Parts: sequence; C-alpha cells; structure tokens
Amino acid sequence: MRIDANLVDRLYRQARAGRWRVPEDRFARALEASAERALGDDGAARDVERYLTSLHLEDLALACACAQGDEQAWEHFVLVQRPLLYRAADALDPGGGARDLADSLYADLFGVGEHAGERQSLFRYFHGRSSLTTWLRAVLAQRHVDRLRTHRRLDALPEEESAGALRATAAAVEPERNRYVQLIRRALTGAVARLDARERLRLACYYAQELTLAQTGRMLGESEATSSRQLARTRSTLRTAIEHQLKAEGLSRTEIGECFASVSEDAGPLDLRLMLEDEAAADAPRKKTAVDRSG
Amino acid sequence: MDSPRERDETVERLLRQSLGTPQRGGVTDACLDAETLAAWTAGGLAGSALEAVQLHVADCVRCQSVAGTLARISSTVPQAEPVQPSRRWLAWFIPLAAAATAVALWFAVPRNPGAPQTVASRAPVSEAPASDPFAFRDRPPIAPPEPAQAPPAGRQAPESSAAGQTPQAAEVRREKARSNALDQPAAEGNVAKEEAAGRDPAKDKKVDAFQPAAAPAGAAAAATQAAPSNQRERADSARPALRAAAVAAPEIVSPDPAVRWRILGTAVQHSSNGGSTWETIPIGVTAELTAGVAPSTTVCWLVGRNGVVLLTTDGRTWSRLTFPEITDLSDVRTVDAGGHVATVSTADGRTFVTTDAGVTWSAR
Repeated sequence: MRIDANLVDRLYRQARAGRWRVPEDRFARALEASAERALGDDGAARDVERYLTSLHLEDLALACACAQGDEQAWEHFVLVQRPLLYRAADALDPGGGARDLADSLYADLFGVGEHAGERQSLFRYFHGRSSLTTWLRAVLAQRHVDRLRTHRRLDALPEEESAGALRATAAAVEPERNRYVQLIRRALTGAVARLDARERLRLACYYAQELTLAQTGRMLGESEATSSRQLARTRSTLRTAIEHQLKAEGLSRTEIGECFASVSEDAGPLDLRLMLEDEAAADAPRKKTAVDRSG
Repeated sequence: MDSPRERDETVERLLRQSLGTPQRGGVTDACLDAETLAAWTAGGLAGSALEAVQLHVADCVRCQSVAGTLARISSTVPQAEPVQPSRRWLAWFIPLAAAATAVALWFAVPRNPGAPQTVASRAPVSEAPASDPFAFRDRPPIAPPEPAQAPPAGRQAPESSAAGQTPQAAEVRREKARSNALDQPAAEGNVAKEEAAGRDPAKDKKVDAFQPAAAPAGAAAAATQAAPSNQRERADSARPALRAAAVAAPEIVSPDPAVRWRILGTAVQHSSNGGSTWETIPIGVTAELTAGVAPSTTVCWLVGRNGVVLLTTDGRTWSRLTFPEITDLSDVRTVDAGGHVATVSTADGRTFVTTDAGVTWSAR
C-alpha cells in the first residue's frame, strides 16, 4: 500500500518524528504497515487517511526510533515508560512477582535477536492503534496471564480416588437433589451457549472476570446503566430458557421449582470435569432414545 | 420456588458458580494480539473490527482473562507521564526565578496607576473569566466528576439477596462492593480468586500514592502563570493524566507561527504576532481547558474537563460542541483545516472521533 507523500509528510511533522531522527521513509513504512494491517491492501484513500490521522502518531514515531536503536529515543522511552510499567506490574502482583515480567519486556523491546541483519524488536508489533502505555500494559497482561495459566496447568490434579469418593458420598446423601442440580446446570449451559456473542461476552466480563459494571460497559462500548439493564434481561432470558428445557425433559411444575430450590443455596464451586462426565453419561441414554424414536 | 424474581436470583448464583470457576483453554491463532486488545479496551475499535473482537473474546477464556486483567490495571494505575527525575529541580527553580523577577520588577519599574496595561501583563489567569463580560454566568455548572473511590476492601463473597429487595437493588449493592474493591491489585480473574487471601492492603496503598508529573521544562513558565488553577488540581489526585496536560498549559501554534492560542486554566488567549501580545478571547465556559490544536490560522479545537469541546472556525468566536459523555478530556488531534474532523482523548484513555464538526461522535 502506497500512502500519499503529502499525507506522510504531514503525519511525520505531526508525529514530531524528526526529533528522534526517524527517516521519513522509515516512518512511511510504519504507517503503511499499520494501515495494511487494519484495512488490508485495498483500503480507500479516504479511509486510509482517516485511519492514519487517528493513530497515536508520536508514540509510533518513538517506537520506530527505539526499534532502530536511537539512544535518545530509547532513553526517553525507558524514562517515561519504566515507572508506568512497574506500577502496572505491582498492580498485577503486589509482592513484586510480576516485575521480572516487566524487566524481561525490555530485552524483547530492545531486540536481542537479529533477522536479515536487522534487530528484531518487539516494537515491530506496535502500529500506533493504541498508546504505547496501553500496549505495554496489554503485553504485560498477556504474559502474566499466560504464566499463571501455565503454572495452573502444572498443578497436580486431585487424586482420582478422592474425587470418586466425594462424588459417591454426595450422591448417596442427596440423590434427588443431585439430579436436580445436574439438570438445571445442564440447562443453563445450553441456554448460555444459545446467547449471542455480545451477551456471552457481557456475562464473561461481569461474572467470570468480575469486572465492575462500568468496566464491563467499557469493554462493550455501552454505558454502565445499559450493562446493568442488559445483564438483568439476559438473566431473565436464561431463566425462561431453563424452565422450557426442564419442562422438555419431562419435569412437572413442582419439580422445576425444586430444581431451582436445589441450587438456591451456595452449592460450592463446580468441578467442570465431573459436570462434563455427568453430562456425557446423561447424553448417552438420551441419544439412544432419540435413535429409538427415529427408528 | 415459583416467583420469577427468586428464580432470576438463582440463575445469577448459577452464573457466578459456573462462569467463575477457573476454566482452561489454550492460545489459538485467533487470539487477539496485544495491540488489538489495547485498542479495544481503550475504546479504539469500531464497526466490523469491534464485532470480530467481541465474537472471539466471548468464547476465548484466555483472551477474557487478558482483557479482564488489562481493564483492572487501567482502573488501578492511571495513565500519566511520570516525573522526569533529571529535571525535577526545574519545578522549583522556575517559580523561584519568576518570583525573584517579579520582586525585582516591583522595585525597578515606577508604578503609574493611570497607565494602560498591555494584554500580556494583565491580571492573573484565574481572574480572566471574571473579567470576561461574555462569559455565560447564567449557565448552570456541569456536575462535577464522581468522587474518588473508597479505600480498598476485600472482594466480597456472593451474598444472598435480602427479602423484598429487587435484583436490580442487589446488583447495585454488589456493584458498590466491586467499586470499593477497585483499588485491589489486579490479577487474572479466576486466578485472582485463588490468590486473594494473600493480598497486602498496605502495598495496595503504594499504587494509590501515585503522584502526578511535573511540568515539562518548556512549559514551566506557563505553568507558573496557571498556579491558581493548579492548586485546585493538586487536590484532585484521581486524574493525573488530565493534571499533567493542564499543568503544561501549552501554546497552540497554527501552521502560521504568528497565529497562536494559549490555554491558561479556564481562559484562552490569542496572539497574531507570534506571542508578542495576547488578547483574551471569550469562550463562554468555566471548565478548565486542557489541550488544543490549530490545523489552520482560523480553526482551533479546545478540550477540557467535564466533556468541554470548543471549536472556532474564524479564530475569534467559539462554539461549544456537544460531547457524548461528561468526562474529563485530555487531548485533541486533527489535521483537518476545514474544522470537521477531530480525535478527542478522554483522561481515562478512550478516544472519540467526529467527522462533522462535533455534531456526532463515535468511540474508536
């Protein structure tokens, strides 16, 4: 994609790229890469201009300069961003456990490896669509989450025997309640899966990530009040869907009420592995019945 | 259990249990890169790009965790330029030098009460609006921003709804608890639950104690003039980004360097001779202004607190534009000399774009 030279020149001055001694052609390549990534190869000139003028141009120029190894730019970047990155790391882990992630970022940003004679800096993934600060936070958040998830994968799972024993004990104590709990949870899983993506995202932000309504609204581009209303509406939709599903399973009105009552108190955290096993077991006879009926 | 309200509460309890349980899911090719995540959480995506992101994140546990973590970091750590240690002394030196110069002038220059003052040597900036006969004094002030968050509190366990309380009321109560917990250190949503017991409130305070940036050296003189408004700003420790922008009190230079504007707290001054003399321009608002841009000698955009966006297309008269939110604005950018296209940034990092001179805005 070729960008009009006048536009490049204007954006170059607007980005004040000259103060970091970024060559104009290099800055133009960064703009082209950014536009191609966002709009593809065939973006209309008007769209390209609108997109490029909305970029964080000064940050993009600084990233270009750092990537090409300009000492002053790098010094400025470290001076400005290091404290912010450390604060973000401390917010992730007040014990300082995330600071090593922040430190390791600098090595990647500086570029320890080379490709075709050019240093491979992490800055090549920055295209000015967000501020440098927010981008660095996102990179840090990604690495933090991935590390936590890796550690969790390495954690030993509970012994099979103890899990089986617990399940057997629970089943023996309240067999009817367990059946109701499984029915309603399965109905919920199906109902959530049938929601549209935006509704599922809202549920995930609010219930899984435990964001506030304001944060949830921001993720969805809506106001706090709208998020609150939509969540209430989705809960109501899910309740109706669960009721229909339970009725379709052949439960009476009283039994449906008991299903809801069985989970009205905190039943403790769910073990998804057990749920999936239970669902698989429950699906088998259902499939058989469906085959019998079709036959 | 027959009432819909009770059942809705049960559904909510189930959602908390099932969605709140740590789940596993690997990184896929479709997972969002850091910049897309950053642009999304900063409100910088729109249209099909936004839809694609939402579609993916709705079903990707890993991206949900990263986005949630990023949202919490952004809430906990404000985005602001840090202090430049090597120039910290300037923050003290410039006001002292200015004060010394003022004292020297007081003694050196003979006073003549009848002599007219030049615009450049007028009363302090904070008095400019009061002396402005065109200021809209009858306009009710816009509601101030919400007060700072309450001190950190531990994340609350799912509570049972009190009898007679609507689900919405229960949600408001929960939301209050969440807001109180905003200052808690952020971590991956599900993992955070496992680690919550080990948090140290004393260390959380370290984050709250973030101090704003000192004025850049080039803007120090203007910062000295804007001292009254800066005192008010120092009390508002919740908005360092805005504060950093306001302290800078930048001159807004048009493509013709002779024509420029400057923001001095709540006032705007215009110069057509490269800053030799300045004339105060009535703008009709009392909110503090934070940034501006002039893509031509007649077009200038200004933004400020409480969603204030001002535009002049003749360099003299200002129109206040309607902004979609009453929120503090920290930056405005444009290269459109026609005065139609502009990009405005909020103090909390979001971006809004107009292409019709502020008639409509879209979040990016």
